Amino acid sequence: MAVLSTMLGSVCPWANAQDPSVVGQFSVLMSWPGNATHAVLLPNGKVLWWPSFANGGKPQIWDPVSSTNTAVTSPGYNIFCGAHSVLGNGQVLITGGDSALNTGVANASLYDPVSGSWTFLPNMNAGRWYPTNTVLPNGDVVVTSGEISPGLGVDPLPQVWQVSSGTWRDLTTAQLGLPLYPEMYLAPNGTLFFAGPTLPSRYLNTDGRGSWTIGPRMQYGPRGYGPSVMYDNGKIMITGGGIAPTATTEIINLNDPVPTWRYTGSMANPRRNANATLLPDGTVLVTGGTSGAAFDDYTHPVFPAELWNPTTGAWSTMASLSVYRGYHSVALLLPDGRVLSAGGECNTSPLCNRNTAEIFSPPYLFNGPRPTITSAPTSIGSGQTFFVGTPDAANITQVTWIRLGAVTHTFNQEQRISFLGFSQATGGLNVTAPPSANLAPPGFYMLFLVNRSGVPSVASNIQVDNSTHGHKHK
Amino acid sequence: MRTDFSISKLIAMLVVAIPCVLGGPAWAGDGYAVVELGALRQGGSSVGRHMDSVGGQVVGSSGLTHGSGTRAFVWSASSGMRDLGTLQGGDYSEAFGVNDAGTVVGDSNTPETMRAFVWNAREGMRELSPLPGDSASRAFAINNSGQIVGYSSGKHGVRAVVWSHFELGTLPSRYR
Repeated sequence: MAVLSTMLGSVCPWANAQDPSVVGQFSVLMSWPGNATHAVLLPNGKVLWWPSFANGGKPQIWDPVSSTNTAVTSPGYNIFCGAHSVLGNGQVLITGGDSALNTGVANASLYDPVSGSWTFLPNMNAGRWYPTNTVLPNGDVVVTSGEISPGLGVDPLPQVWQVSSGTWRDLTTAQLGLPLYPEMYLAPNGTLFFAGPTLPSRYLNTDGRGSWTIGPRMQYGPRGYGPSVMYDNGKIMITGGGIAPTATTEIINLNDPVPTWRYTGSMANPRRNANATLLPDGTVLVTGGTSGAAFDDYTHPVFPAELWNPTTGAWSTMASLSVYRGYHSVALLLPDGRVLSAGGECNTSPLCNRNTAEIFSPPYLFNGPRPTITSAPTSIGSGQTFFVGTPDAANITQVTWIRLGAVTHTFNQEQRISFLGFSQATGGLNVTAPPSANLAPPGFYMLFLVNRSGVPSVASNIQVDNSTHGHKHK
Repeated sequence: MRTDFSISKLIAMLVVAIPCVLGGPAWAGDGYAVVELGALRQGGSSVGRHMDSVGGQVVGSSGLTHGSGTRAFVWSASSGMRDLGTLQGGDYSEAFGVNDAGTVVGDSNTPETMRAFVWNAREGMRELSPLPGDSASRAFAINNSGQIVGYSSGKHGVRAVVWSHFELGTLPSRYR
């Protein structure tokens, strides 16, 4: 169907305009009880989200199956503008938050999706407003940046939440002034890579008391509110951003002997305040944002989504959002291969409707039957080979897994993808997990089988648990 | 809410309101005039943190919205907002204190760490080293004798320090 549509589209360009097998399809607009500003995919497949500003202490859980929202017990303080990550045991670590505009809270909490309860952890060294959480190979979590207050500025002290001891480790030899919500990644060598939005890039070694090493500079310059993703082990793409938004896109391969940023294809639309989402077939979906120079410029909304192909570096224009989703909007991959797009801040124009959500179904969901997974382990260790039952084994060309996402303010602090090795087996596939926890730190991953038509299965959720299955770090 | 009114207040309002029309201070309605100090970059943000005791100079930091391109500044009515730059190889700086001589203190990124700085118009920005063996330092205030207070950070943690004539020593016990 996609081939026929493409051929028809080359003769009659308008023919592709609404063909979902080519441009995908957004659902009807759903009314939500708030503007989703933070969204975290839980191991049970539901989405924990919360709104902005004064409503930041009122989280909800959205069930993609029933498409219903349910209020969650409040953590007791405002977690808007905090950071979040899903720990190896499935609990959500939330650091920082909002006590006033540009003023952070020092709180850290765990949300347990099983019991629905909150646990207060020891406070961080200072308030953090706009920090970033990054999970380490051993399951600990590094918190970087975040503004203490306008008077005290950004917190320059990275801290490591040590899961086993329940204490903070201060990286006192790694103090540095970082931008808010720094785009941090666990690199293949076990260090953290600061990709943006400012330059230069840097590496953070979290051993002991920590240290920074300077890295390469992006070609374009600062990309404020330009999203980035790690689209393969050690390969990062950053797109758009800037005060006058750009359409340019850059990539870097941290596996190279001397990694350097270089341009890949540009989006059709300049944009900032967009979201970038990894898809099961390895492509990257960019949704929302503004092409205007004002901070959250709803007068220049970018409605069409765009899809980046990392193999070719080319972008394809997808279907359009129905409302402007810029600052304070989110996008999140769901286990069924669709993408949640929700929230935003603007509510002052007919172009905006922040208390809503819509679901994007990528073109692959209109390109034939989906492969199915009939069995998969619930928990494995790094480097382990495991059996995945499927009646479609002979037709599978890709096996991927994507870590559960946790997104806010343009940056998904958790999503990462690995392309897994596999071989045919009776009744299914033997699949091998990444060999190192540097490539897949402890936590939960959506396992997808992708067939030769590019159609993914619904995901099976697999926990990487090296404490049970052996521990391989660097 | 205060409702009293007087001729003197009317005069004060006019004194403030007339220059406001001309781009000067605005009347805040609570006995204070408010003056915008501007920003280093168009469309950017700025934060004032400290003012010398004679009210001539204000220091703080200014950058693009939400933390990009942050630079320390010193502001005066006659010169406006001045970018103090960064230490060599840095990409971030912020000022926290200024004395009556116009000497400014704060911190700046270097390529691989953060260091306290002292700045004056004649010599520019100079680094204030941390304690021996430490890697980072920050400075928050300077008095009219030129003494600077801040902290040094390293493998032993974070320790308050005073720089006197740019010679570093840990705080006397009475200050700890």
